[in-house]
Amino acid sequence: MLGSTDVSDDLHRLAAPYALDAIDDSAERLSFENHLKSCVICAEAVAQFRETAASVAMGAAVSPPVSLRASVLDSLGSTPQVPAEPRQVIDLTRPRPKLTASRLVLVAMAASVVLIIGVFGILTPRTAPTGLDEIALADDARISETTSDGTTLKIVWSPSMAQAAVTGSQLPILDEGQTYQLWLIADEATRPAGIFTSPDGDLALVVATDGGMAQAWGITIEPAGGSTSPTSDVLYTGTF
Amino acid sequence: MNEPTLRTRTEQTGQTTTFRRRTRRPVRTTSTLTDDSVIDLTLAGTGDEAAFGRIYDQFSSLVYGIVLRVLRDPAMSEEVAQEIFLELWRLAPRFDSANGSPKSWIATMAHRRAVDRVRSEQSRRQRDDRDAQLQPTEGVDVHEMVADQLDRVRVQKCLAELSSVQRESVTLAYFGGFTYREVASILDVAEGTIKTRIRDGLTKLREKLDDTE
Repeated sequence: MLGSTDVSDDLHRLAAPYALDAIDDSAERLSFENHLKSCVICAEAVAQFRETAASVAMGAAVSPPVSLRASVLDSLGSTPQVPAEPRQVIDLTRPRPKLTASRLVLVAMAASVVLIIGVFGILTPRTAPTGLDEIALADDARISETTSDGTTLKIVWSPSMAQAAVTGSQLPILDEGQTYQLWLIADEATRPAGIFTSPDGDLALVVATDGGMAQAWGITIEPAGGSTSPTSDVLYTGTF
Repeated sequence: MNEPTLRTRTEQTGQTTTFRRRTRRPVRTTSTLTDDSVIDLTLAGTGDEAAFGRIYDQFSSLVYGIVLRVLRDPAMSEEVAQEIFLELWRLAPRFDSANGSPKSWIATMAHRRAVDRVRSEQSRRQRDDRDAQLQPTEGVDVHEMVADQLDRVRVQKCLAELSSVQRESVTLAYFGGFTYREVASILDVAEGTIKTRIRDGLTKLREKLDDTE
């Protein structure tokens, strides 16, 4: 018993060196990576150490030669991307992650999927889509467009995916402590959907909705965090 | 922008709306979209080159800074930074904000690449010089501007709060690109001690960085 505890303790202590890529011995690294798949504590620790390391690296930031930008961007077209499958969920509606084990579990529960332990380099296939284009390709995608005050707002909503893609530009800039909120309207009942912001008034993002039906939608400005029912006049509205 | 349509919200009891105020069923909780880089990186993952351009603008100095510190050779650093950005582009469809911030994802990949290169090169010209590793990049021809002086000052302050052994261990491992065994050998202490120092150093750094945020 003691023996196995010691081994485990020893592995736990590799989280920090691992996060800094400071394990050279490939056998040791593999054994730690194996351990990571089943140890939420270490997975969490590695993620946090990496966030910290990245913050430290911000202090060493140096602008690269100007020519690098064009040289990178010009090569994108000839650099194929990995397929999105097996995909990891990229839920745009989530806040910037503060990683905690409980949060990971919550996220998985919210998506009604089983959390497959094995983060960080291990692909965890989960349900739910995310790309703007994926929503547009959904069988039940509904498209609605509206123009108001020179701003054209487009919504593509897939009830089965429980997500809506929202695009538009030149929206009114939000004040501090405000958010946009999407509402779905069915049978004259309004129910809240996702909230979102846009620092520059341009939008191209995915907002969470429920999977129910709706004939219309609206967008309002709400206090940060969103509301359960609208508290301001509708900015944009349309029908599906 | 002062669009006439934009009403300032009054009180919770606020204005009436065109919507009925009732909610029929509990809905999925949603949360704020706060980080542009999450959006841009996600868009980049769908092949959006303009979004990737914004990611480049936001993180190129982070990537180049890491690579330069580890490789200490501007020409090689530029080449490796280019490889890193193309790798980031290639793998962008797999980015998952549940696993960490874009900053962390990008820095992790940049650091790993730089370290791989330095270890495969075996060009450890300056790498045995411990003192050189413990200094900020000097002797390297860095005409480039420091991207964010505030970050630099803030991080330096936080690093200064560590004990010198913690600071040396973290700096050698991260910026020096040394393994913990190498760090142990350079500082002439037991390997277990180095693992602990790196962990404690990072933990303390995190607290200090959080405090100054």
